[in-house]
Amino acid sequence: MSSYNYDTFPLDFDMQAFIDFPNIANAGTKAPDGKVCNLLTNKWEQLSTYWKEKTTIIEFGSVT
Amino acid sequence: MVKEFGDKFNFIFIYTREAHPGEKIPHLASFEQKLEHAKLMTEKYINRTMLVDSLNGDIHHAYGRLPNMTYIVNRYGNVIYKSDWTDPSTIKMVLDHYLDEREMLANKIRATPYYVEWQPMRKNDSEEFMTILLRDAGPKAIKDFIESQKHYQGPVQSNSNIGKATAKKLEKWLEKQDY
Repeated sequence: MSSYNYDTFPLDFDMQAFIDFPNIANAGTKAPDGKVCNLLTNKWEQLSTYWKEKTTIIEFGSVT
Repeated sequence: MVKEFGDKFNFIFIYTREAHPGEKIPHLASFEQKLEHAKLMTEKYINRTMLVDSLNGDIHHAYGRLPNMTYIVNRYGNVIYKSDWTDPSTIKMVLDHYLDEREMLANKIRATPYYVEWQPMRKNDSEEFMTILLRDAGPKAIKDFIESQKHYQGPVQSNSNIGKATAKKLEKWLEKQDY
């Protein structure tokens, strides 16, 4: 199991991520691009495919 | 919001990792399992295009690896909005403003970008959150979360006792639950 996919919610839940957030992918800069798997088609596609078509709202999350 | 703005914008959801693994929704151990969890989300909660990040969260890391972030990216690939929490009312405000900007440009009105910082507040109903977490993930997720709260120092704008006070409140709440 990787530390990213932790089994137990960390006691010090990744505070560095909160500290770093104001300096990552800021407004006015290029959005990070990369491959994601489309659940419907089960195919990997470039994230930029979406924003090249229309301005795109990207939400991140999970079941829990 | 998808109904109101879906013809003008793409709305996508990127499934990342389980923030609060429990007995019913455990931590991710394979990409196949990740696809299953994402499928569960589309069945229960999400009516947008569902995209799944790599098992180790490459895209999630690139955008800051927080659990409920939202970004808006324009057609040139520039970030025009980022938030460490998904708040529909704020997103609607930004989309309305964006459409006003497009109208200005379409009407040949000179427009120039400006920079803004803002720290709004959102409703934080711990008991409502716990109720959903208990139902969906199981008691392990809640106990882990309460334990972590005892060590939580809070963001820079809050006082440092916020975590311990929250944990105490949640422990009392959990004692009353039948699970």
